[in-house]
Amino acid sequence: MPTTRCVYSYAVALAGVAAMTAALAALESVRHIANDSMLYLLVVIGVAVRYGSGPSVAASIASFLAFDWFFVQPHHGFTVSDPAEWLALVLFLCTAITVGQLTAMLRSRAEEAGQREMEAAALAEASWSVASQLDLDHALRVVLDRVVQISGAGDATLLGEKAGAHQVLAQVGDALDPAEHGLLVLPLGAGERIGYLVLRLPPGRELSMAERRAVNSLALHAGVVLERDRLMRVEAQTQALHEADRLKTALLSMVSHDFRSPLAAIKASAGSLMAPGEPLDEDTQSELLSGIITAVDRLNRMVENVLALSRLEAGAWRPMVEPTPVEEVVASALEPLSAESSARVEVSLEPGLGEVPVDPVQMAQVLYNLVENALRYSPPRAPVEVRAWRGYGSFVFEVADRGPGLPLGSETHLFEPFWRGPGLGESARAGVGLGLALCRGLVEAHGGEITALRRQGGGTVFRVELRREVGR
Amino acid sequence: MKVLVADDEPQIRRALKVGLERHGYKVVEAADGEEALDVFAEQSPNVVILDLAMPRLDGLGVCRELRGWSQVPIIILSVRGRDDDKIGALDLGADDYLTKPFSIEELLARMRAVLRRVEAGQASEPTAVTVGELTIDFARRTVTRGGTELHLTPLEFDILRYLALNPDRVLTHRQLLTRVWGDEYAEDSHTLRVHISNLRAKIEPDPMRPRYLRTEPRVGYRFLSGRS
Repeated sequence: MPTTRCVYSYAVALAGVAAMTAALAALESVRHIANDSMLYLLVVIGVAVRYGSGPSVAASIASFLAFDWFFVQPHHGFTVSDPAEWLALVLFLCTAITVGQLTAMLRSRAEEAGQREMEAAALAEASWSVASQLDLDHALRVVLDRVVQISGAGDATLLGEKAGAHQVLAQVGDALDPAEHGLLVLPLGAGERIGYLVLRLPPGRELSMAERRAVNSLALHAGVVLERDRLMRVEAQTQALHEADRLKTALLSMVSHDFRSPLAAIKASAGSLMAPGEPLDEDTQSELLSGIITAVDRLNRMVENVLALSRLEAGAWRPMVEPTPVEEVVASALEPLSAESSARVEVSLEPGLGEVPVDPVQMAQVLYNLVENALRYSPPRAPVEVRAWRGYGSFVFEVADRGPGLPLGSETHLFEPFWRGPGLGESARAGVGLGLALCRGLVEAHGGEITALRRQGGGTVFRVELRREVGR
Repeated sequence: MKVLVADDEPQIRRALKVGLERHGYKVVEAADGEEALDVFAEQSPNVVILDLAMPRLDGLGVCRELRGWSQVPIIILSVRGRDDDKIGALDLGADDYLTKPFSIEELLARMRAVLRRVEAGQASEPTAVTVGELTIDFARRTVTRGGTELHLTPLEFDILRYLALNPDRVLTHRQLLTRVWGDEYAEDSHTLRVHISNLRAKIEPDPMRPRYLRTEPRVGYRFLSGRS
């Protein structure tokens, strides 16, 4: 306790005794009251409640002396004529001190309980903010605000280790340097140095035990928040690495299987065209050349799918959703098809479908991939159906073919990058490559769902279900 | 007819030179943007084929520079996924674009289309355009298909008119919106999409497989003249 406050509390104790003495004297002049010394106990209790044990003892002794001086015969002297009065005086002193001590003890108990409560409330709020706020800055800010509230610090700073140096993570008032003199510096957490809490208390202010405990707990709490954040980042990194690794493995397998066959076709065709010997007739030449162009187109499509999927997985290709006429989505999907392929597609749209909330380019890509896939796996000239209708709170697109149908148990694997059907081995047609994986990625980016179903009477139905209201 | 091919990839310049010369064009080359501007000033070609990704000055910069003082037809070469650059170049006044990889036939068709427009631009505006069964009469503001008159709203007619007056040329959303609706509607591509959809329902025999109005995804629309 600062000395000014200390002196003040003793002064108040003595003033209280003086006031009580004056009051008793005034009362005494009117009529005599038995055991009026007991009124001093009121002063002692009051001082004990307000200022604690020291001042209450002072008040007790002062009361004893004042009573003896003013009210015990002979007046204005400390001598006591009646031995019975002596006993009463000593008893009074004992009672006053005991009552004062008991009251002061009660007071400090209550104070401590109050502080514990405050500490518990601060910690509870801090933990709640940590549990509910995923945002690191916000959580640290809440913790620091509570520290300031409890400690009364004018400036407070949370420093954390970042990239090998300590950086300010949160601050109230001026940013503080822990090396500066006269600041309170608390480590955030034991063992490994995670960071520091630095406080500048107002001059003369010292923390009570309870306050110190609360501030310490909050500092540890900030440490936990920082540590959790670090672990979460490590976790996310690990996951991204894992995902990238999976994609890389899949890509390597694609390069080794799917890319090689068009490359081989190109090299063989170009080699034949350049080979010495009898010049090739014009038909053969153009056959080889158009083979090269077809292979290049195929490679180009694969490269585009790889790029699209990696951009999608990296979160760099978010759908730009806008209300789009369904006809426009279907028309854009069919546009890249050759006239011959396009003629095989039968479109039936529920009348009055209106607009569907999608990214027009991405959804056209989904439908194109599905149609192209269906055409490729259907018998030549077999029709492929494209249907669209309004479900309950959803839009449904379907692409149905009369191909060989799905191998049992492949309904979900189909959408994994580079999945190959059992028994298809490494034949050129085997891999669906990335087309369906890209479809799933795009549909899921729209918050929708894509499924593959066996079609009654043979064949496969790919169904894309989109919510009719898509939040941006 | 002289063509400037500006691309930093030598193999592409070589292939385009061979391909274009076989069709009677004279080809001058530039390996970057600065060189393209120099060669253009020296040789004044009739068409510029411009790769967007070039060192020193990129295609967008060349396009901006050229449009400052020349109306020469410009065809942009770009790769998939760089839609913004492509649209930027078109809005700056480039005439058309091709996505790499492209075939020489596609390039020749684009060149023929832009050159036809240059020629047509010197004549007065046509009073009517007929493509297949579709006839658009600009003076009487009527559209007929196979002799039957189609009922277009004034806005639909204006869209069709602007597209048909620029046959085989891609018009960006922004170009169509500012031209038909006005500058303050430049970003409202949804409105445009709805009107195009209605227009297709009226003029296309099969709106799922449009033969007159082609969508260029993310970029704009193109009126197909059926010539190549």
